[in-house]
Amino acid sequence: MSAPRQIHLAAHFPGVNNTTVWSDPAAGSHIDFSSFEQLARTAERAKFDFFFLAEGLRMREHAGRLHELDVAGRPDSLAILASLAAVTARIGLMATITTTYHEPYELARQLGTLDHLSDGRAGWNLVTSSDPFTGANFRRGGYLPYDRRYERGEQFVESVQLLWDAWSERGSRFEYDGSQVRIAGEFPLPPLPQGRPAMIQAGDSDAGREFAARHADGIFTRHGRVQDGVRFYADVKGRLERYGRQPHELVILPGTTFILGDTDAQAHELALEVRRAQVSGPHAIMFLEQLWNRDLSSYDPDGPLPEVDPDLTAQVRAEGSAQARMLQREAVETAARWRARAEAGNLSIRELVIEMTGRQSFIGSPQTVAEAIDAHVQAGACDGFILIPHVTPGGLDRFADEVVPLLQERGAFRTDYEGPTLRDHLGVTRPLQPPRPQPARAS
Amino acid sequence: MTDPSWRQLTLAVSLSGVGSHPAAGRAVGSLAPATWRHWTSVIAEAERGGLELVTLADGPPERASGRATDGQLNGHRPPDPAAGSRDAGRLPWLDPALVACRVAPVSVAVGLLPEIPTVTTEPFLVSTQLATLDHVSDGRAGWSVIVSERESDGKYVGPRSVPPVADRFTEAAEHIESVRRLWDSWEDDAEIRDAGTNRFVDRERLHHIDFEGHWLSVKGPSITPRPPQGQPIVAVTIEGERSLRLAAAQADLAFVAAGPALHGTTRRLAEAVAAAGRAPEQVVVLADLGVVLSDDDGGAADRAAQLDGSAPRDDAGDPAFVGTPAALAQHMIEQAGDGVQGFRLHPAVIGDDLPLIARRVIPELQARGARHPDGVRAPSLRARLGLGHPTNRYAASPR
Repeated sequence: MSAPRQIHLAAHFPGVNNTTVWSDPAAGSHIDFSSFEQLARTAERAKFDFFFLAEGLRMREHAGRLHELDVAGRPDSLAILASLAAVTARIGLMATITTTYHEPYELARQLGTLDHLSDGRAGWNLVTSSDPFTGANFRRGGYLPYDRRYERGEQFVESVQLLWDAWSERGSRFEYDGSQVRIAGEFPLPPLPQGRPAMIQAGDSDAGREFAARHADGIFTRHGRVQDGVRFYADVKGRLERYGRQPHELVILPGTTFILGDTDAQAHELALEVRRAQVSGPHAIMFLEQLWNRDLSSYDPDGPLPEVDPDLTAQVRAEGSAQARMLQREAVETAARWRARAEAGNLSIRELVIEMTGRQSFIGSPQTVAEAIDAHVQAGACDGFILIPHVTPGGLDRFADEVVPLLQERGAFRTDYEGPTLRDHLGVTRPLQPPRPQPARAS
Repeated sequence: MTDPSWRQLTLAVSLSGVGSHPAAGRAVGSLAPATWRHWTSVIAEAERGGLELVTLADGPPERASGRATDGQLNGHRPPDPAAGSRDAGRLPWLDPALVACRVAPVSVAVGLLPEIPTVTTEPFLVSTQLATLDHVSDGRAGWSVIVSERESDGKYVGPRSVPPVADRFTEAAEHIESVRRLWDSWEDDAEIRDAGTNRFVDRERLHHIDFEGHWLSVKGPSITPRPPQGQPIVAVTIEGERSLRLAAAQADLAFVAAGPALHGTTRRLAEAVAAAGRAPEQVVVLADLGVVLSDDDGGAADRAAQLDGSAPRDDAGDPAFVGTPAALAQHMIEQAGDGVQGFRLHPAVIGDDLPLIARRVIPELQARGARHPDGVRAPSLRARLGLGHPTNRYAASPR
């Protein structure tokens, strides 16, 4: 029997959304450095590939008012990662960063600095955005149309790579001339420990997949179920060949939640409890408002669903919410489906929302969860997972202590780090290519 | 306390590459500033001495001061034609804000002020980055504001356009105002975790800042809760009339060149502070002084001659002190007072001069009654500088 495929695991700091349960008695600070330190150290103790921070550059709003129900407030990601480099030694340090509201010279220097300061552990989850709501916090506002976000993304990546490669015996001048990125000067960092920090990418559209196949070392995906995952995995890995790349050079990692119990039954009970904590009455109404696009504050969350249909004429109420934008696309049909489901099951608003939204991906005893994770990877649905605990900062403890040893016993997960850099952990060390030719300037 | 402004002479050090002297790079000659080991050992030395704060340079001095010509671009010293290889003397310049974040968890008392430019940066990101540094360091963060006046800055952020050189200080004032408003956009008690109403934050204590300037606008609120100091220290280096007006309007800390003009400039700053409607004690003044030190006078002079012979200083007008730690302590005591609370020393070669500052100059100051014998512990950098916890501009009357 051949050796099992090796699983990659990463730790997502609990997010600024209702997945994170702040009402749990064990829930700690979301801003104190000690919380970040504790979670990163736990992930490092468990030999995870990297510690991960999401990005959100505007406070969420609902119906024109700041959102109050979920955890809110986060640090600057690269700043926290630089601090974490001081209290960790091996784990990769990864942040989501949009190419739309950052500048390539500054970001290349900051990621390069992080790579130097961490001896080669810096990583970047590239996202492209196009969102005037977030743009209002930035100099250029919502300057970038949706269909041009990957144009900026491509040029951003190419220019950043040009900068990382700029330092040589002869100097460190650079020049990049594109429609969305036009920069020239000198880059002040010597070659980075990783050459180029590992880069993953999170877009799921066709353009996003193609972008990942060309540039990325990994993909942060939503496709958590085996069947979807296998299809996605085959699709993306199949695109690599045309860029002269091998399948192992792109690691596919779905974001995933989990609930552990002593037994499967206990875990399922706990999972329901967590779902109830995640979806309070006000949460349920707010979630419904995202779909209905109406003020539903007069409805009782423990009562039946609204008889009225979603309002398709008004402006979207939940600004900055990707979930709301997705819901809006098929609002009336979805509302009808939900009403039918609630009537069939005699469910209240809150009960329905608990059922309809984000059940945890893995629920069970450590043995069950370890088997399920391993099964996904061995089936070719993904290369591992980015785990999203629901409690800060101790939400990964039990996974590290009880699930990781089982994966190690199965021979599917490392018992120690094999190299010093994040690229080593991801297994995506590859010889650096010469700087890519620059694109023709857009007319 | 009779005259606290010099009884406790405030001491800062500028950390610029491997030293402020252009020959420092050749003396040290390495890529060391690209490593964390270099920075943790430098900060440990600064903490050993009990310095109030360090500033961390963004690039060589000619860049920091905005005096660079366009031949001298961002990030490192221009190539020296006298050197054998183009690479000689070229130093790495890490991002100083991230260096500050890297050393924050392994230091306990020293204030950390990275240089961050205004022209090429986003106020929103500068604000959250410094707020994060303040959270990580438990209230030791500050911002040494760099207002570059080089035409070429726009080339680093194209195709975004940057203001014409003549308007850079006007833009800087808008930038700083946005950053300060963002720091206040979360009231200190905005996070309520109220199980009764299921609310994590109280939106009444979060504020859009709605800054609308000529050069930029920012909506807010910040994504980062208010930093422990409320307002991290904002420092402006005074090099002319426009930087003086900017400091008077926006700075907590002003750096003024030591030398004959020191007290005249400090008086004009005090007048401008009053004209801006601020109290004089709201702006702390430190005198900027380059130092070449040695245990004996002859040794210091030899070092200075050797450094100058190897690479002349960029600006012969910059004041520099050459001598022993005891003489430096005496010199600073004589020059301080009259609105000058202390000094920011610029070690010519950090590896040589910083240990002498930390281990020799400070004991000399203590022996002369100009520093507390045991050092001073304070809950924040603001407190150490004698600045109070600032009122939040958005907070309603005390609850």
